[in-house]
Amino acid sequence: MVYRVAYDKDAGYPLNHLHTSIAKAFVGDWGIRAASEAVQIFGGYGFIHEYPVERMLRDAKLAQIGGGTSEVQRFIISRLMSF
Amino acid sequence: MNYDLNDDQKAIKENFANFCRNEIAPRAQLLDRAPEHDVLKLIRENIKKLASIGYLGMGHEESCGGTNNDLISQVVAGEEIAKACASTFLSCGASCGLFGVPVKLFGTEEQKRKYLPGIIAGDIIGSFGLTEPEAGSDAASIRTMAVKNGKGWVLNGTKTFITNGPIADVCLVMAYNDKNAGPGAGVTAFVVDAHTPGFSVGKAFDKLGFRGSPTSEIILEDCEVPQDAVLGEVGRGFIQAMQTLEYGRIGMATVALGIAVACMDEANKYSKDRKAFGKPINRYQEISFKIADMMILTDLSRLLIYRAAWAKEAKDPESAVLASCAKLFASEAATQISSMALQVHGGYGYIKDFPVERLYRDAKLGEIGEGTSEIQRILIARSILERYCA
Repeated sequence: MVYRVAYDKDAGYPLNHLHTSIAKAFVGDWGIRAASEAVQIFGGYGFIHEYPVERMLRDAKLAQIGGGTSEVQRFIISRLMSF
Repeated sequence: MNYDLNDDQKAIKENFANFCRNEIAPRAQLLDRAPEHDVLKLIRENIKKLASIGYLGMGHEESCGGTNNDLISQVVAGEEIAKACASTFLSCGASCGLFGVPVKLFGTEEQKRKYLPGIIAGDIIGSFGLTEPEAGSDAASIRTMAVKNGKGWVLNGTKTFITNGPIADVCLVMAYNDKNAGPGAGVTAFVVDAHTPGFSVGKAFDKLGFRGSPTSEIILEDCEVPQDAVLGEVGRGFIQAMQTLEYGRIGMATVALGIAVACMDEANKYSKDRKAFGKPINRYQEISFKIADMMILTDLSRLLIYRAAWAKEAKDPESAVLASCAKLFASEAATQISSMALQVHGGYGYIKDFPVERLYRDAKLGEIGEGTSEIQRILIARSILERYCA
């Protein structure tokens, strides 16, 4: 989905808000889920600084907020589809 | 890398969308609710209709009457059919895909000439007999046996959950010819005509969904087939079946996608018209966010399917795992989407007056057929773990 946004840009298409919001919403939400699973696989070690996954979990949260929250992406997608 | 459909693919999409809207979609409800004998007649008619616009020949060679389209074109057409009527897609896929593809890939010239023109024209219907009552996910544990006699082979065993069982003229049957050689070398695929003595078909199962696509047991009792019923070579049947299932998984992902798109359409139409507390319900975030989630999941399903189809065409060694990813994601997305779409309809989603009730029942098959979600996760995990262990 992220590649498609880049493809749209390279192909010279006008900005496709549906494509960008879909990519941002899904990847932003999925990142924190994947990071949380990774911490879980590490068990107690996943919760301490010695391993990188606890940082990944903290960092992943930003993707749901920055650049338009996950909620705003859903708002944009539903507006583009419904009205 | 290219994310645009080419002009041919765009034309295919439009042609199939128009045809299915007029010829297939209006019969979907009828097919879902008809008693068994009517279903058999209606589904045969639908297969014939789709044959008439060339769908069943899309994946087949021109020498057999096909049009040799690429896999993405087949997915594009398939999405439109599945959106109109998932049962019709499944029965067509079992005939030209699960039966037709292995005949095309592994069959002798004579077998191709004998069966494929009829399959492509919709005059004969095929089925694929791998699953048995005690061998589903664990397909290597099938018990059907093939014993060589003077003229050919004698088959004994029971196959189950066979799509098109009650309407098929011909079935591809996997059987052990040498149990000691194991699945990799001891299973053979046989092309068995349904009128062969000893070949019988059970009653159609009374299913949750896909009620328009008949499914049954197939019983083989001292069923004698000639030597030239062997598909390609003796001992290759299991590998042939597994390679066929890779296409089958792209097909099952496509049917899930079609169902998801239909659900989204229905939810959009309903939520635009339905008013509550003085405004259309799609103006409330509770509903519009569901619609956004449906869109996200549908869009990603489609991208994953296209990528799997693309990889298969490019003979990418990752294509099997990409087909599993597409099938897993699209089928789980479709069950979630159908549940959201039903919820958007409220009480009206729970009754048969709206199509979403049928879509909700149909969606569940995606997580089971062509390898359950659990099997897909095993396959995907194995492929990733191998990379880290190498």
